[in-house]
Amino acid sequence: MDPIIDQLARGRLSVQSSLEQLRQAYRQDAPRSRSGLTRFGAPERGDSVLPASSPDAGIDPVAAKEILLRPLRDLIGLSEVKKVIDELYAYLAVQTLRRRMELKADGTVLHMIFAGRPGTGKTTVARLLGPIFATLGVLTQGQVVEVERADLVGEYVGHTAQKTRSQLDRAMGGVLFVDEAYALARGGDKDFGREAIDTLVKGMEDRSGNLIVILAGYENEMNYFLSLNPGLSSRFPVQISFPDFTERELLQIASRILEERQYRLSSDALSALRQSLRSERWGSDFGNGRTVRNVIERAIRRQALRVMGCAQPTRQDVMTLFAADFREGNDHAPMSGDWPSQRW
Amino acid sequence: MRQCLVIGRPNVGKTLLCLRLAQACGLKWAFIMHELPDGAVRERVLTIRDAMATLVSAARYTTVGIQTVGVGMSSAIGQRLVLHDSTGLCEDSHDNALIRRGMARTLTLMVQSEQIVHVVDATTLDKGVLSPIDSLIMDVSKARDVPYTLVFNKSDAPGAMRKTELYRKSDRRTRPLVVSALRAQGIDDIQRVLIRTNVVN
Repeated sequence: MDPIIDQLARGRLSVQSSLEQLRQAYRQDAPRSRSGLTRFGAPERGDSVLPASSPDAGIDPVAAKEILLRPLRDLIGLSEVKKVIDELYAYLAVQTLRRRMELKADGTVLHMIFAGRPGTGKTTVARLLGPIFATLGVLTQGQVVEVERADLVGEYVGHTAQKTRSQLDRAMGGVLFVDEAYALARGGDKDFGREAIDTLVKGMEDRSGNLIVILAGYENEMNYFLSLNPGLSSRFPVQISFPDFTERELLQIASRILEERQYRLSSDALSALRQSLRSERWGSDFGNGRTVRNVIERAIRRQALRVMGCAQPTRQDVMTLFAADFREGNDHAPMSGDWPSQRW
Repeated sequence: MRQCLVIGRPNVGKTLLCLRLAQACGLKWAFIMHELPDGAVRERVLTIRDAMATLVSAARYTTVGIQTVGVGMSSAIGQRLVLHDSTGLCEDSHDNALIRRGMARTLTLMVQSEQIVHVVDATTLDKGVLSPIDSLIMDVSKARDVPYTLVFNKSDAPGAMRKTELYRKSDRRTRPLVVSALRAQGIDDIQRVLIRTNVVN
């Protein structure tokens, strides 16, 4: 009881919510004294490290910021995206505090548009946002449902609305992430995609407050998509653009992937990787982060082939990627320069 | 000595009710312990009439901190009762640290006291329903399982009786006592309840 009263004295809790908590405290006390049940009998979730202001009040959004946003911070690059989400977080945290202090907290619309080329981290960020919003109390569940055109558009008349609505129901209390959303408007006027958009917009209005819709896609195509339907743009107040990764960031991503998989680069392999990324970058189907992963996976496969040729592979052989592994065509035997030096 | 808390929203007439109770018990002098929100304690002995003149006003938050009014119940009971007159609980004075501490103290007493008298201004009942804070006070008191008395004050004001009737229809389990502290009507009902709940054996 004392912490609740203390919170009231410090102005953290409103009178009403402190009374509410007192009542709950008594309710929970009653069965405990009789049957010896613990108050926290339910299995605790993994995020129990979050600093709670009191067991019943939920987490303290200001103190929890570092913990909640850490997975997002750990992403490489995306400084613009992080800035926007920092702003959003501050806003939502204050709204949560206001609600707890019985002040008016306006329920803003948080539907978003993620515009960026493939592989720039749109899906990754969306997956992280769900739990953050749930912890802040904006969403009740925080699950992220990823869908694309095929999940929303049906095959015959009337099927589309039904399909879209069922996806909206699945995402209720969480985030609906529509990947390649511009594809919904692709087929022209007769296409069922239009119907999907209309149903989506209708569902967003009906369920506003407990559902966040994120539309993702290429920047140009998304702009075209929004221009098609004049009501759409205003319904998505948060527009975040995901820029391409710079070469440095791509290399950072590469080194993180390698670290996770316990591989190392030989001294010249780094430049070979850079060259390989550079040539991919000019290609039309460059997928940023995804391409980096593909390049490395291809190198790992080539290295495996090479290691199979060795008589007795050592631990170092199995761990090290050579420059040759990154080059098209595996035409030269490893030379002395390929071995990792002390500096690397 | 049993501790009885008089609780309610601001300006419902808690202080006057306490003094009226003291008066009804035949006291000419009220022994008043003034517990200021910063923890200091001031004791005053006032005649009831003086106390009413100085402690009661129409403004909100006349009582900051806790005034304790010792009420000697009739000597036949052999057990005395202390009335804790508390700071009114309400939301919109949250920026005032003094009042906030006073409210925190009220809640502490609410957790500790052995009897709760809950005072509601009958004219503020909306369609026969208690305000959120009042219904929470009621819930917590009932959850604590201590003697609880609901008092509707200001029965002399226009509209109060009609609203009380509405309330009686909606909540048949709690029977409120209807009083007017201003006119000193119905005070003996509360006195009777206090005596009944405080009889030893």
